[in-house]
Amino acid sequence: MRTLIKNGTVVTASDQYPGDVLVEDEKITVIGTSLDMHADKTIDAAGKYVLPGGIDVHTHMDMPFGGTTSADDFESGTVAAAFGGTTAIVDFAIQYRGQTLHHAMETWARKAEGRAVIDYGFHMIITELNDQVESEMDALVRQGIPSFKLFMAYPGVFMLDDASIFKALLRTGRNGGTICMHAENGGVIDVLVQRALAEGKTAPKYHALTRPARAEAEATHRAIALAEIADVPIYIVHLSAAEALEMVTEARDRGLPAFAETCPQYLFLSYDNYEEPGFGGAKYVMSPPLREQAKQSALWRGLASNDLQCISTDHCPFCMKEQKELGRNDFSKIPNGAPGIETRMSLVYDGGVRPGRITLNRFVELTSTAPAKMFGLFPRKGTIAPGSDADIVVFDPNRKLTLSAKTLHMKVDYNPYEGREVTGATDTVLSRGRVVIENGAFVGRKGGGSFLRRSTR
Amino acid sequence: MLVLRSARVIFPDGERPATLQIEEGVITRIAAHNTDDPTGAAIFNAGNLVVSPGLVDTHVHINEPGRTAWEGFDTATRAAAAGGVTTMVDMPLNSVPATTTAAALGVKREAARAQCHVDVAFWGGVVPGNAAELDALVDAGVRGFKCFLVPSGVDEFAAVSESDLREAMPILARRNVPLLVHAELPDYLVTPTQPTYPTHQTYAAYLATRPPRAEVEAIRLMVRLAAEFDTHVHIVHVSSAEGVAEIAAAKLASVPITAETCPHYLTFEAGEIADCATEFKCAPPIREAAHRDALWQGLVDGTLDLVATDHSPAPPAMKRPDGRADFIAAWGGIASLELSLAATWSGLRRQSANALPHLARWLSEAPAALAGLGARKGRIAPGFDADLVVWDPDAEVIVDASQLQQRHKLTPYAGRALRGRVETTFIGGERVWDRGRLTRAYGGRLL
Repeated sequence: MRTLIKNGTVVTASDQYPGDVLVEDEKITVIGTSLDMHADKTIDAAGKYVLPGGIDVHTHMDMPFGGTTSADDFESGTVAAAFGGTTAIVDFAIQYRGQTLHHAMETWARKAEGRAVIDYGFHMIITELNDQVESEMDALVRQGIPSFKLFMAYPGVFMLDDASIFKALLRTGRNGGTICMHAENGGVIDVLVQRALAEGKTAPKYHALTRPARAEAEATHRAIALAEIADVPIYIVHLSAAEALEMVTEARDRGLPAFAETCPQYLFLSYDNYEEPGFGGAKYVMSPPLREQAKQSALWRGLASNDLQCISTDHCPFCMKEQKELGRNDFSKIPNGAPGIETRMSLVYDGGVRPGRITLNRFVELTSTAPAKMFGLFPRKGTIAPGSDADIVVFDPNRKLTLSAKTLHMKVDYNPYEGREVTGATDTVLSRGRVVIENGAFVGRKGGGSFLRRSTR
Repeated sequence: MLVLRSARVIFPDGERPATLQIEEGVITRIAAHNTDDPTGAAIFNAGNLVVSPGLVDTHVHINEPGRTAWEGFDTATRAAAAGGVTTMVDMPLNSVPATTTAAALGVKREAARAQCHVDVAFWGGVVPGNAAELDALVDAGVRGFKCFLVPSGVDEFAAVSESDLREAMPILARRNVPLLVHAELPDYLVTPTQPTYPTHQTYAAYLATRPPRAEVEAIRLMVRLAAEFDTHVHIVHVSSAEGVAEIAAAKLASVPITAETCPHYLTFEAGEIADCATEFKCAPPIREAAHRDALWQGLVDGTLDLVATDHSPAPPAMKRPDGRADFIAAWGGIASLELSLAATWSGLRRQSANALPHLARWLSEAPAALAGLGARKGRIAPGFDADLVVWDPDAEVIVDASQLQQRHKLTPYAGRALRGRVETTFIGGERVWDRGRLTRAYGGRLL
């Protein structure tokens, strides 16, 4: 099967040129000017960008949390991803206490296999560290799961103590893995939550008011310091607070391999959303919480200056009905998370590239190339080059799209950006050479995605 | 049609095996390494040699016409071809006339015509009183302008004052071309304390006359003006750690500024310069090792955008006026056009093993962009000129000055062991230099 994408403008993290792309079976085989070879299918990309497919390295499909399960499974979530121009995800498998990492890996493999419509990999969340788990980390690295997420928040559920975190960091120094950190001071937050509840403060906005930016900054600083002592890299997930970014910047200025991602919600939504009337603020209950609007410009500067390397989504949707409602009388019982996998590319293009906050090349780097490099998928993914997987998005920079739960494809009954109009949207999407989105419809195949064995950085 | 194949092609996003197809001087297809060859194509198999984009050197003093005894288009572009430099941009001074009027540019183009082996473009000059000429120079094809804040050393290219810059910079902003600045301020230069000859045999005597402060204050002035007029300012040959810090701060404040350093500041350090070794003299001077480290750091973190040679040859006698090795009296300037790739790579490879894409950015892509050539030169991508250098990054080369192609063979690199040997240089898909000889003479274009 040969597919020729003609007349577009090819854009990678480092290039932009008018060019054509030939895809044979699953791979890109030729890039060039005016390619004229025979093809089974020709896609006219005139006036459009031809981008490497988006890579979202922070998703939670089919994840149990707070007595319920995130609303998208690997099928619906990856269909939505494809509609939004994302062609690979790295989801989080969870080791629950008393279980092996191997068990967690098999559990998540079963959730994804036969359902995902684009390629997927896993990070492993470690919630309990002992000698056996440490040696299992080495095995996972070899099996293509070379990244581990640890929590400094959620005591009693996910949180690891500093000694365990430090041991895990040391282990990655030997096995080549990468530690990803949820950096919020869980102890402090729990005390603030209990105090608020005791004072009768139960509305959704108290979720944010009990998770101060300084608690994120403190944990970010501590995570980086522990990694510095262990002499290994560290990757901070879903960085939301400008105060936490300062910690990353300070470390990077000293030459430390400290890395961080942020998410669209921290760039386009703010604390003000929690003030929606009634229970509406629950839509935005996620951790870390949305921050002050005035601080967003610091995150944009960090993205432009490479103090932040990736934009992922932390896609973790819960419906308002029956799910978010669990916390109607107690904000601490609202399942944490929001949908975002389908809207990432359009939001960042519209709000980042169009106003000139980041360049078009940087947009590709933040949403595809840097995540691929950080998590062992480059150059197989994350660029447009002969030999790379044909994960390609034909992106129409002029197409207008109104974001709405009614028209988007994520399986959730609200959208945090409801009614927002964006310019710049996905047109045609290829996943390993197969067209999966065309003319506004999903034309891929359930189970068409494969497990990605990732390499170490 | 030419097909060029290598296991190590340097693309902007990394190194990979590939096959390049070249038609009418332009890269038209990039395919996997094992692709079938089209019928009738000439095949060049580079094996495991590296194929990088040809170098673009934006800081070359060719000196012709007027001082052709120092260097000229024929010898300079021959050295360029030998060093993998496929495009050079000539500085407006040291030639007579200096390129400060459109008429002078015409004279220079006439002198260059049919003499060049690589592609050549030109910078114009901003000097006191020539603001009225700047538009005409842009119309006539200069890629931007150079100015000096200290005496340049030649009478026909005077230093500018702030008021001269205030006249010129709005014009450059309107024409969207960069202003390249020799950034040292005369008020901060130091007169030699012991004005007697023997002490001037030591490098320290010269180094003390041009302190980092002179560079810092000049950069501050240019940052202020760049911000005020929204004019792209490019600081040439940054030499000091303090200079790097000033540029980092300006970039953080979104001032439209870029900067370069040169292979000699990245290679040598003051402590190794022997008494009487005036071939090391240049301005600003080569400084202590800590400055060299800071320049490397500045390149790696993106504070410095590119590496250019400031190739500035002169007859060897001028390096020893009156037969004396006097660092104060000697003419300044280091000729290294042919050694840029090897010298820069030799320093870089010690720091980072997987650094060839960085090298291509500093030596090809960023300089092409500075000269407004970024849409057709400086990278290996479809639609770009097939300007390529095929080289062996592991080969050790002891610099034999007598074998250099430049007019005068004097160079501080003589006898130095470098890594990186140029095998073949392609310009527009034509083999211009191949294993030690010029294979296509006078094919360079004037851009």
